[in-house]
Amino acid sequence: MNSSKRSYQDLLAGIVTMVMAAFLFLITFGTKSFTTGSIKADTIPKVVACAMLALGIGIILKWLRDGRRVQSAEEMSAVEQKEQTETDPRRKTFQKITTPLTLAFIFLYILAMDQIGFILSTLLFLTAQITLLSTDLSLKSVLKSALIAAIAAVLIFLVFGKAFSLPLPVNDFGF
Amino acid sequence: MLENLLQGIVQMVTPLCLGMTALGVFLGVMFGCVPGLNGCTALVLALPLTYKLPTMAAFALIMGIFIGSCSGGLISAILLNIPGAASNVATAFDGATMARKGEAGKALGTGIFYSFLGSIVGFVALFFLSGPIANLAVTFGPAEYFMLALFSLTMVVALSSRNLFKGLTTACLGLLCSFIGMSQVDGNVRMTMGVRALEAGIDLMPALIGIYAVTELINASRANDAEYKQITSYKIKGFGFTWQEFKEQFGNFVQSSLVGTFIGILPGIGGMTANLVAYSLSKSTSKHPEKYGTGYIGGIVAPESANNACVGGAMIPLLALGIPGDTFTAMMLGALMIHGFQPGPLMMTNNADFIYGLFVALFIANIMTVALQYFGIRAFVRMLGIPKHILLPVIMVLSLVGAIAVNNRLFDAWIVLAFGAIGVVMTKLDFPITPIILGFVLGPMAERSLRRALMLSRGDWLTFVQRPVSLVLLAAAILSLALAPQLIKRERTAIQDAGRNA
Repeated sequence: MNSSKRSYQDLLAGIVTMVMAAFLFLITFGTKSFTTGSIKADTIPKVVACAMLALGIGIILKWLRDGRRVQSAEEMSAVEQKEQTETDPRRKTFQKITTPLTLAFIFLYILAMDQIGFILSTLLFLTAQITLLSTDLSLKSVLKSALIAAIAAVLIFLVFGKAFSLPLPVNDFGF
Repeated sequence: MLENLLQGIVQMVTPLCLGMTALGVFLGVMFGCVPGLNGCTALVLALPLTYKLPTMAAFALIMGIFIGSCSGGLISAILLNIPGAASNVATAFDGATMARKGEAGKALGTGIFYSFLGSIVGFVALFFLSGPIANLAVTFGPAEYFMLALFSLTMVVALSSRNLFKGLTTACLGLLCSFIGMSQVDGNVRMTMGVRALEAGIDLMPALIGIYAVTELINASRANDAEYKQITSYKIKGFGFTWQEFKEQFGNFVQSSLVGTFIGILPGIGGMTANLVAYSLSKSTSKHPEKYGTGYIGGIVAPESANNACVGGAMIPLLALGIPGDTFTAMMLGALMIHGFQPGPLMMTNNADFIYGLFVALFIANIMTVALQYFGIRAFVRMLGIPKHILLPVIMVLSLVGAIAVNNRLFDAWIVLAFGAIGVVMTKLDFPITPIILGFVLGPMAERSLRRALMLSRGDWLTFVQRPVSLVLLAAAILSLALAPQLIKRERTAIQDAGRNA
């Protein structure tokens, strides 16, 4: 078990909490208030952000009190347990890169949707994501993914965009 | 009453009305089970059709959509661990775990059965008690609403007993995210960082899709294929649970249905709060809190009874007072007015035959929903036979379509991504993510009610203890917090015992 990483997880959680709380506290300062009274528009957000900051400190203090102990299997999240039990080296490598890649694919997909329309962006996103999750990079597999992606993209567009008239982004050609 | 009821039955039991109810149920279930799409979307699409239909047939269609969409969300919550609607968030906790253990059929059967029973409790309340209950609902002022929100927020404890600090942190994060945009009391824009699209605030559905769908897509990509192959088991007898389990869960069902009905009659709260509060309350009062979240039947019974009991509850202020409780009932109010009705106290006497027809439609829609879902279990579960590397990206696309459809803007897709990233980081750091949703749902209500109550009392905080209902709710919140350490200790001891015995 990777004990050094595990034992610093709560410290990191505390720091992340404090950073988020500080950020959220700071962005409450731009609020213009036109009302009188003891509670203004920014009062409750400020109080909650302070509470969150205090909780971040609490998480760190708890980590210090518990002596950076290594978590037991019962305390580990399901995802971490899955990661620890994985034995296939190729799968293990994929597990490390899937999170940032999946988030990047979704980011690019949303960006592309506005530029090249729903069908083309969905085709690209589904092809990339299906290939990534299947862990098979052979040409045959990529072509198979692209075919499935094309069918799914067109079907979703026809059902939701045309039949149900939902406002899906389209390119200059209308798809 | 009996004469009106018979007239209602005569109006409703026609081929056209029954056909419209079936169409509504089908549309509702289909839209309900796609994350992001909901009954409101289905109703928007069906509204033009309702203008051309005879009045009773039009409302048979609307009631079918209402009931179908409330139940449809449990399908994706159980099979994909992605709630189809906010009112099915808690169903995923134990439902998805049961499905992963190879008990998808039992989880779906239980959810469907208790959805039906919950609806019947809401229906009975609507049928027999709508007058007095509606009068009770209007006595709820801002002070009572604030205390109810506060009490509901104490349920975070039950949802995060593994690490209370972390649970409270995510609840605070949910609260803060809900405050982004225009303040509801005075319209002041806050925490938008100059982004104009944020001025309208963050909608719940994109946030929910981000937290659950994106996180699930990433988690699934890390999991072993074998874990997902087990899910295709759908062989069940009856609804999948035993008579013994039914008897054990009876108290849980009654408690959760009453919670759902009560929350349903209060305008502006809805099924999303009802299912989380019912789940937390069920866990807190259970003899085996440690079983919740591990694929325990009680964790499905509570949220599904509550969110469906909410439906009958939500109809009470609409029909008796003309006050819509949520977006769907607000749209229904519009439909009633288009068809020449004036919802309010007089409607119950002036249009008694139509009202009873509506009750009958509600009952028939319930029967049809349970039938459609029960006979569809095999098809729903078979859908999961599709390899997860194909299924989950397609679900992701459907979820984004749903998110865009909420406000007809692409910006909500960015919200999905932002909350997805938050969900991934939180899961990685072992934060419980459900309290974010609870905070997000309750934040606006808590703030709005607190500020209004203080405005009405001219800044006097004693208003919260001077009103009897508010005082009772405050006492319940304090009691809930006081009992929290005991609950946490009990759960931890049980987990340790289970670990030793394993």
